Amino acid sequence: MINKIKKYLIYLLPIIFLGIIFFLIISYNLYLYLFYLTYVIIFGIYSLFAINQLYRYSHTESTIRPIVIIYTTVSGTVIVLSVILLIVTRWSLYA
Amino acid sequence: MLSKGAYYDEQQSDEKIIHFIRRHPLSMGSWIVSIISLVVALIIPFVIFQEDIIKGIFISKNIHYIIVTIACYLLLIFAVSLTSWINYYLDVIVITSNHLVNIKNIGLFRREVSEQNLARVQDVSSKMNGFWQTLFRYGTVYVETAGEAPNFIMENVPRPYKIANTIMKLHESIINNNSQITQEIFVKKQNNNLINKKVNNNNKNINKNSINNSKINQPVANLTNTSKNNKSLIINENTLINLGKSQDFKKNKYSQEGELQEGQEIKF
Repeated sequence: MINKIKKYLIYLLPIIFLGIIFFLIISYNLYLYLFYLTYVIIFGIYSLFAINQLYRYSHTESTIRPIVIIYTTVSGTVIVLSVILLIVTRWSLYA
Repeated sequence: MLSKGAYYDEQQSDEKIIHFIRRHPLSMGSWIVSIISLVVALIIPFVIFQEDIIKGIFISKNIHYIIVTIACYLLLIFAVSLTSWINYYLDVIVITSNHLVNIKNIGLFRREVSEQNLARVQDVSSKMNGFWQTLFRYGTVYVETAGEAPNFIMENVPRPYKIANTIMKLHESIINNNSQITQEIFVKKQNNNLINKKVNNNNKNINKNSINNSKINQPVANLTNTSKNNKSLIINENTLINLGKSQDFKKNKYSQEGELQEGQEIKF
C-alpha cells in the first residue's frame, strides 16, 4: 500500500507543482511568474550540472553526499516555500 | 566518479599517493566574505526595521514581487556558495611516487589537469608572502622543470616549505633509483661482453684442438657424437675427446680395432 502511494506520489508531485505554477501564472501576474519559473528551471539545471561535476571528479563519495543533500534540501525548501507563500498571499489578496 | 582508489584520471595502478593537498581554506577568503555580505545585506533591513517591514510586506500589494525577489536572491546565494565550494573541493594537488599533478577547476565549465614527471624536476622553491600567509602558514610552491615543459606553480598550499622539501626528496630518490638501475644494466652488459669474449676464445681453442685431434685420432673424434652433454677434455698432447663423465663405447664401423672394444668403459 505504502509502495503504491509512493509510486503515485512520484508521478503526482511534479504534476501538482506544475499545476500550482500554472495556476499562479494565469491568475495574477503572468510576466512575474514566467520570470520566476524560468529562473527556477535555470537554477535547477545549473545545480544538476554542479552536482554531476562533483560526483564525476570527486575521489570519495562520503564527503560530497551530505553537501549535496543539504544543498538540494535547502534550495528545494526555498522554492516550495516561495510558491506556497505566493499562493497564500494570492488568496489573502482576494479575501 | 573516479575509479575506485584513484585520485586523478590518469593514475597508474602502481603509483603511491604521497600527498593529497587542497588549497588553504583562507585562500577562499574573498568568496566567503562575498557570500556573508550577501546574506547580511538581506538580513540587515529586517533587523533594523523589524516589525514595520514585515507588516508592510504582507500588507503591500506588491508582495508577489517581494517574495519572488527574495526567493531568487536566496537561490543565487546558494548557487554562488555551491560553485565556490566546488572550486575549492575539486582544486587539488596530488604528489605521487612518480608524478606531480595539479588539478584546477575554474568555475563549473573549465577544468585544467597538468601532470609532470618528478624525474624532470630541476628546482623547487617556496614563498610565503604577506601577513595572512605568514600567520596561517600557507603560500606558493614553484617547481621548475627541465625542457620546454611549463613550470609548476602551486598556489595557496598549506606548509609550502614542507611540500617543496618532499618534492625535492622524491626527485632525488627517483634519480638515485634510475642511476642504480642504469649502473646495474651497465654492469650486466659488461659481464655479458666478457662472457661472450671468453666463450669465443674457448670456441676458437676448441676448434683449433678439434682440428688437430681429427688429424691425429680420427675414430675417437667420430665417437664423440654419441654423447649429448659433451665436455671438452684434453687427454694428452695428441688426443682430444668430447665426452660426458663416463661413456660405454659400442662398436662402430669407424672405430679402430684393437684400440676400442665393445662394452669397454673409459673414465676421464
